[in-house]
Amino acid sequence: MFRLTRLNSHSWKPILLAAVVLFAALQFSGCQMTSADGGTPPPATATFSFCDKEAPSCENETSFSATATRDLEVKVSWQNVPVGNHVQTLEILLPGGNLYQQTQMAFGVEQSSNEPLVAIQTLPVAGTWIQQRHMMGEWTARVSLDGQVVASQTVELTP
Amino acid sequence: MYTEHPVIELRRTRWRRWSSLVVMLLIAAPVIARETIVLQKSATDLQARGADATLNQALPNGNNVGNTLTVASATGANQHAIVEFDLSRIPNVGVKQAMLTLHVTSAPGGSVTYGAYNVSDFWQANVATWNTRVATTAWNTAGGDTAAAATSTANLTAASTTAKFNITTDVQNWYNGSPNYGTLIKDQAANDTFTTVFEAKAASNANSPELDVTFVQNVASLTATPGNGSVKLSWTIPALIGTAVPGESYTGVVILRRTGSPVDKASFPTDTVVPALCSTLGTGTVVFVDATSQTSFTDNAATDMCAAPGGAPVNGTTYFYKVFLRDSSNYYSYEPIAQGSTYTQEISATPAATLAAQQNTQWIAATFATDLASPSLVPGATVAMGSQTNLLFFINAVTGIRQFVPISLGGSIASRSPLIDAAFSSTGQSVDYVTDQDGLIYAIFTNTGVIDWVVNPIGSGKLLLQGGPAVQLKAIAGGTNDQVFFGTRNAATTTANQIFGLNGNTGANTSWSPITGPVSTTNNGVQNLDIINSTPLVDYVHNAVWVTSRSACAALQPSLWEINPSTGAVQAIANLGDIDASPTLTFSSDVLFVATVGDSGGATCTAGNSTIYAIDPTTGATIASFVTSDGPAVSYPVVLGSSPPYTVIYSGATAVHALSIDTSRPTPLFAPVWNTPVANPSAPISSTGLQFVFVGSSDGKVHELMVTTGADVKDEVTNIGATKGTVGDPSIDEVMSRIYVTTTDQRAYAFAFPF
Repeated sequence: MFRLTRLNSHSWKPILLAAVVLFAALQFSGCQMTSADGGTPPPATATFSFCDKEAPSCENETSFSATATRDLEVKVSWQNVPVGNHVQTLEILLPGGNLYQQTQMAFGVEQSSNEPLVAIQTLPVAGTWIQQRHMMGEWTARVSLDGQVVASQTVELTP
Repeated sequence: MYTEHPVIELRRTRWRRWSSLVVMLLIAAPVIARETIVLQKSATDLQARGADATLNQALPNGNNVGNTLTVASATGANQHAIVEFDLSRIPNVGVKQAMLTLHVTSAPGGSVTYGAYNVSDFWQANVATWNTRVATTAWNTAGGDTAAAATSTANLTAASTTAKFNITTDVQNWYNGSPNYGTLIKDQAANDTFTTVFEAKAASNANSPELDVTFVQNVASLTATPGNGSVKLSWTIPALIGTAVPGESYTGVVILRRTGSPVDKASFPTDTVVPALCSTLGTGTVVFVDATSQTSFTDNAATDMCAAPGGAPVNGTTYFYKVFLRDSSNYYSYEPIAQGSTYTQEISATPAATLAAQQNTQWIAATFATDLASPSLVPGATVAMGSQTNLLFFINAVTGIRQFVPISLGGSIASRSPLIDAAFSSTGQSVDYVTDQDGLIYAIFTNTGVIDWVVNPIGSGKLLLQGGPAVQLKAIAGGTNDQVFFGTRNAATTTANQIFGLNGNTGANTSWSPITGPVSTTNNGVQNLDIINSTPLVDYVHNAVWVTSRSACAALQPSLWEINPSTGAVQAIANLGDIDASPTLTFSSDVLFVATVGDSGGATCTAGNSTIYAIDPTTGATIASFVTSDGPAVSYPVVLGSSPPYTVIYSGATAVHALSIDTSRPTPLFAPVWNTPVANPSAPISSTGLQFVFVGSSDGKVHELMVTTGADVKDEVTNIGATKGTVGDPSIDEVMSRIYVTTTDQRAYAFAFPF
């Protein structure tokens, strides 16, 4: 059995959480947190996607115009997150590596599932220091789960 | 794969084995207290920022603050105790150990294990419930948002009188940029039916919750004086604020040096180990090791024999020093955590052959994340700045020392937060008003850090507040209380953003608040309200609040709004195109200046050049305008002159610009005066009568320009090395003759002016 789990936000403006079902329930019902041979459960993994939040389709892209983008939506898709309470830490690093912003989000996973958990956070762009101070170039989003870095991904901001 | 070579291992000398053993024993031994302090509510420790509550699942919407805290595990009736301590008595320390003790008043009926969890969300004791953490904002997980694993556990039995938890790592993180939201205690077993009752803070006696902290203080009064091929560092060794281990004391310092950038946070000496002079620790070179309580060190050719990157300071090169206080057992003033320790006293200086060419910082303070807003201040006393790690800092303007441990708020702070001195505040206390991206607004007493009130102005749901609040003072405007104004940044709409006015004493909405777009205006029908990125401006002369907004990347809806603060009536509007900059009034309030973003195209918004407008504040009509050619103006223009002609200074993308306008003429016109190239300049700062205008830059420097000519006469360096940062909008302290800036290198800097 799988279930939808909600991650809710607390920082970075509305961090919405949605649970997205990728696979058919019948194929992945039951406990999914152990490997097929019953051994160690697979480690939690995360992937990033970015989109222009106000765009009608909000399609995943790797480069954005800071002039045309009011808010950048950062989606973190989690897989294999163990049952229990967790804290996601999302760091946004400037081109050059200095920390721009760090936010934490607590969430609970009540039952094992192969459903990816998608945490969506909003990075304001229009009218912020990013646009005013021309902080263009390759930014990095880095996400940790319970203090351990799990994934990072670059995204480009252009004038 | 790495394998240790057996021969090499056999060749190790005996003394190295013994030294390793000694080090291991020292590490394994209990922490030798350099200083210890007990934080517990008492007559001498009010724990003003301390708080506790019980979150009760059986009463999920009930707030439970009283003389006791309860932890229980039962189906549908779990109870969690949540505790937060006021660390204000030890603001500038490296934490070595922290033990949380709860005193039992009613023990469990059997053996039970409780866990202490680091809380990961902002909460307020007087409103927190099982379901909600503040106002109507829910916990993400009912019963409290916490770390996945317990930081520490404690076993209790029917005979237990205390529960003790070692929460050292959490407290160390609180001193290194992680918000302090306290600790939650809960049963490790589900539905075991055991209940334990502890004394709460409100009991205010020897059995109130206590936090026993072992620490090493930082040095105080750290200064750097550049010379010709030398830098002299001076400091003082602080007096004890806790209880020292008998016979032990602070004995000296270890100093690391780095060229061009601050010594990074992962660079520090290991506790109990004395680093070798000239050795490298991370990005720092050990240039001074002392155990004789010296309070100065001159770094020059005679004292610094280290090979590069150590060695005598070279004229024209900026050096950063990180000074660790040490004690007689060689514990140092930092937190030995995995991510490293940022908060240790730092200073920098640039030696030169001539006094005119020498530079030095007055102080450097960690902010842990990017902040580019102009620091707010009570001149000569306090500097405040937020960070995008949810922290708010109050810094002693003279020494650069934290006045207390940073205040942990709910979200990122991306604006200047106005500091109101007690003499002018209707609250009767010095207060700082802050907005954050958690959608909350706060009133914080600056002498204690106590949050007087915090509100979610829309009740439920969440706003994003990007611009800061503006305060209309009762002391000037009259009325019953100060009023606080701010606007929302809901990027999902170009029509329905909001402007709020709150009672500065209570946080309650004023009678007209909020104004929600589309807005009914006095003379201009219904108008859309786009996002607000700026801080409003209070105009006492015209009894108005001026608000700038975006306008859907076009000039088809208003972007300048004049609000009557008493009635909320929109008295004037102007369709000027997107505005992100706050407006600026002349000293006599006879002209208002605003700078647009300069973009256009509506939905397909493209960049352009700012237009500077001179506005008649009595009507909102445009007096004059000037189309610039250097991209959008940054943050706000500065206006100099007590009467016309006025000098308007603004920053564009590549330069700082000055315009002149004589508004006493029948048809005033802007006239360019000078342009000075500065890489990605911040907003400028100056004041009428000053010779200079100061501006930050992405080159890591603060530039000092002549007001009359724009000549870039001298710069001060924040960070120009490997971790070079962009410098934010400066603040000017005319009492201290100092400039304060924050940067993307996660620090705040103070410089004396003229440079």
